[in-house]
Amino acid sequence: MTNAIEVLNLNKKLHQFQLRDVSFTLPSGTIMGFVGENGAGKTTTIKCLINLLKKERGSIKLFGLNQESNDIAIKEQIGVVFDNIHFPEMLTPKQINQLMGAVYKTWDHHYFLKLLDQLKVPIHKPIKQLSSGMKMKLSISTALAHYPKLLILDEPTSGLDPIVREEILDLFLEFMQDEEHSILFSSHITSDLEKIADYITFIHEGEILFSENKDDLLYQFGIWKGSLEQSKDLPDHSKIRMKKSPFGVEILVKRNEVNNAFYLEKPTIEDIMLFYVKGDDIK
Amino acid sequence: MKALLLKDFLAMKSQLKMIITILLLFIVVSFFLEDSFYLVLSIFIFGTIQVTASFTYDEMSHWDLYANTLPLEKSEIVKSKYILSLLLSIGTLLLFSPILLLINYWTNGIPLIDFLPIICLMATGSLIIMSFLLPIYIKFGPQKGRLFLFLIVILPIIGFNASLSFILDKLPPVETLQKLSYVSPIFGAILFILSYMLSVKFYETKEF
Repeated sequence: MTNAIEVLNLNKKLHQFQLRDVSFTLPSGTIMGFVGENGAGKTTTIKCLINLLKKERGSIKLFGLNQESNDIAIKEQIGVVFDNIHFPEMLTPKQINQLMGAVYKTWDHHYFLKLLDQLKVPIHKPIKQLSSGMKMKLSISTALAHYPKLLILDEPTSGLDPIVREEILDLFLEFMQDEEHSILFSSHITSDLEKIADYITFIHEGEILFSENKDDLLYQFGIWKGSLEQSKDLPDHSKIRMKKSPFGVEILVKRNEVNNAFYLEKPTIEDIMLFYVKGDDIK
Repeated sequence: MKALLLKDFLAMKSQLKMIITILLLFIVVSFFLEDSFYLVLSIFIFGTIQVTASFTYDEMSHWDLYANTLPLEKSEIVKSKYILSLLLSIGTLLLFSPILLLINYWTNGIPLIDFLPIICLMATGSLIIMSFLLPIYIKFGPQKGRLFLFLIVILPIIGFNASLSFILDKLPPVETLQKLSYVSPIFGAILFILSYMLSVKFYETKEF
């Protein structure tokens, strides 16, 4: 199986912020949720992936090709969606169809119009008159109509209502019907990722804290709740992070290193994120 | 390239009515004042403003961020702005030349032989202004670019006024000046090409 994305020891410094040895792999045919709080480095990493920012060190490969020396060939095969649409706002979807047809060799005018029709996006209205949900649907349709192999999505569902988010997630799942297709999906709405992601990569203060299969990740961790005194019964090597709560402490533990006698709650991705960001390291 | 020009022209289309109205107004003014200079001047200003407006539309929508995710060479993105500026300045000037000549003929303006050097000089002026303007807009963006635009327009005027008497004394004969004006677009074109090469260098080092 080839990898859609391979990032190894990516380093990039930007003003007060720095990506440090960012590494992760997105196997073809899978969806990776890229999570982290605002300012953690999600957008910077994505921008380095598509050469919008120049990396300082490290290696980036897309479809097994070196990103710097195969820039155009790679960009023919990817679709990128940001949290906003970036066409001049007086353009209409119909005009976007016209101009994108001149950008991509593989642009399918009919498929684009079919997608817009399916998503009920009016084709004659200028972008400035579309709602934010409509704009995002237009943006995603634009990313899909040249049949990319990889979608790179930077916060595509932030600021959208649950109905539109659901429609958009369905569109991504439809895209994934082809087993060669892959998605890198950055978001801080972790419930969206829980629905569709196969892998979760968590970035915090410019460093990757983990990049793992979602099911393994959710199974591997458990949340123990109790008093600080009671927590001493837990084996030390099982404890990962601890948060203080109004009722005592909450501890993120490795499930397989804790005796079954302890009641552990199943964490969500958001819980794990909060433990890493807000909690204390207890090792 | 085609897509990039199409994007700029489609964005401009929303202002088409206003652009046509202004140009018609200048045609009428030129006709009544019996001086086609106003029309030439308006075309000249129109071209420059529209090129700078295209940068403003791009900046407002963060177009460059998106354009650089598409399979487009950076040099192609820069080239599209240079071709746009040629089409909008010299292209429009050529497009309006028949009207200019007609106004000139009806109003018994300057003889044709004197008119062509003026068009040549205008084209050269336009090439020179764009040669300075485009790298600045590409490097610094339209916000700071506007300040430079002001300097690019105002400094030559101040310089020209200050040295007018000196220039008039040293001027070669009219025939030589006329010949020079015919070849001046070649120098403008060389500067324009050099400016393009510099802009590509600027754009290649840009991050988005």
